[in-house]
Amino acid sequence: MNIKSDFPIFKNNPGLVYMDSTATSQKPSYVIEGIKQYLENYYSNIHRGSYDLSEKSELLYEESKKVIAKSIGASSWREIIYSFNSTYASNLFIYSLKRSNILKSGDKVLLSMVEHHANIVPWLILQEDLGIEIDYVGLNDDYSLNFDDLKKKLTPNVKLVSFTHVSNITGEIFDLKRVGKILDKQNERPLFLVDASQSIPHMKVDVKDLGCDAMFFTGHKVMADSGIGVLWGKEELLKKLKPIFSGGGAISWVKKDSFKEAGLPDKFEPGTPNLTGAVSLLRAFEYLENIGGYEKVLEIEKELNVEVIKKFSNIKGVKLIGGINPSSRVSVFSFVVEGIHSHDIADYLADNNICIRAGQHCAEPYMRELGLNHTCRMSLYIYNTLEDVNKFFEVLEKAIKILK
Amino acid sequence: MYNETIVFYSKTPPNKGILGDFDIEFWEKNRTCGDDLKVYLKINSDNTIANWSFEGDTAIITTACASIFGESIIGMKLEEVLTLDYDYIENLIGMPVSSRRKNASVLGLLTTRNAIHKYLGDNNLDTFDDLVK
Repeated sequence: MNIKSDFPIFKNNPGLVYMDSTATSQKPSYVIEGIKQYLENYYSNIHRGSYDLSEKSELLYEESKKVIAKSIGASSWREIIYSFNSTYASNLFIYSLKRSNILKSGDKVLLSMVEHHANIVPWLILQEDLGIEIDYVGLNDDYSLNFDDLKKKLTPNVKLVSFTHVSNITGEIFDLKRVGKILDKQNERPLFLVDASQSIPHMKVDVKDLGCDAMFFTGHKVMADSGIGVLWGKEELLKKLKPIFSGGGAISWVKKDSFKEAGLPDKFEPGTPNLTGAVSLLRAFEYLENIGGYEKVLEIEKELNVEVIKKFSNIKGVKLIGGINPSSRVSVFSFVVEGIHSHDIADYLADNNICIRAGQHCAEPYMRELGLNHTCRMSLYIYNTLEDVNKFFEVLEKAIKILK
Repeated sequence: MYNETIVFYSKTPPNKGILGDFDIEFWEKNRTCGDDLKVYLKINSDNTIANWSFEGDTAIITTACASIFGESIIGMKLEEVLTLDYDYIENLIGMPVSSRRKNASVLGLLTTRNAIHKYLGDNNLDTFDDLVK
């Protein structure tokens, strides 16, 4: 199975070695054609269009949510809310908690040390607005979540725990099922929010298995178009939440001085949604199934991970920021080269048609904790091959010789 | 990758380090790149630059551009430094900088402009947008 040939970007850019999939993934023809077909055959606005085309468009929009709901183990497609990306989805959820008075001054929110800014900054705003407290759970030396620290910080005023499933720096998979079980033992169970932005592209994620109350992720990292993000929440929680945005499509009725919000999920989706994005997400998940589902993704990535970890361990002066067990991580590899700025490495690789990312990767607090100003990050996905990995290390070694 | 001048200045920047005697210091960070730079300025009584140095965790292009820029402004009026932008850096190094590294190339200039604002007490704070159009 030649998965790379499913992705036109590689045909149109011969020699391209794309290793920035944690930032965004490339798109297979199946998704690109799916978007084209939708725009050429079914495109029209959803919600109460009294014509066939609108009905078809609405059915596809719902079908997209049904496929997502099934994939993540949601009870109903009505628990799936479409937003624009992970950050918008997290903001939508977090500020709706505020508007619904679910959090108040003195309540504590627990985050992990590795969170992306999307799961830090909205809480910092709530800290300013409401006076909530924020605390961070640290990591073990092997980059896994420190459960002793979690238990220590799980004080009675912790009302919500929000963890990423996978670190966008280290690629480490956190044992969130264990977190869910620990939360079950609390007298008053805190809400459990999961940032699945970095796990959904790589592994099967089941919300019931994790024991979470809400979760968010983005489409563009899992081969869909940019501009479509997903917020999932348990129906009873979503029913209690008052949305921070509203307007057309999100209401049952409006009078001059009052309105009644619509039911789920419409009340969280005012205005015309990203219809094309929703279709692209549907096609992306269909494509994943077509190639053999998450099992196939794991199989491809495991082979790549083993090779990458072996090669990193053989290069002098290069430090891998992440664990070396290929089974407890996804294929995201941050590293620093002694004596060479990460941007110089990234530039040299770019000159050789290899795309990686250098910088702080939207996780400044964690970078500060690590005592690093910047890292290089190479991140692989299903279209990468061992040849890509070999070329990367060949050029990296040259870069080190020349730039040092 | 870069021309000889850039490589020379990035490897042996003559004005890297902390000035023994300075009037003002300022720190800036290029958040997208993770470049981190501090400048030190000694200023004459006629408001010209007497001496300039920098230190920080910087990439090749940032180091070279900051160093070359720093040498070029010795004796320059503070007001004139505040008018300089990316075009000045491009002229100095004799080559255009790729769009993804433009901010890095002006980090030394930006930090110096903000050091001067602090010295003059004019309550201004420049950003990359003021320098890279």
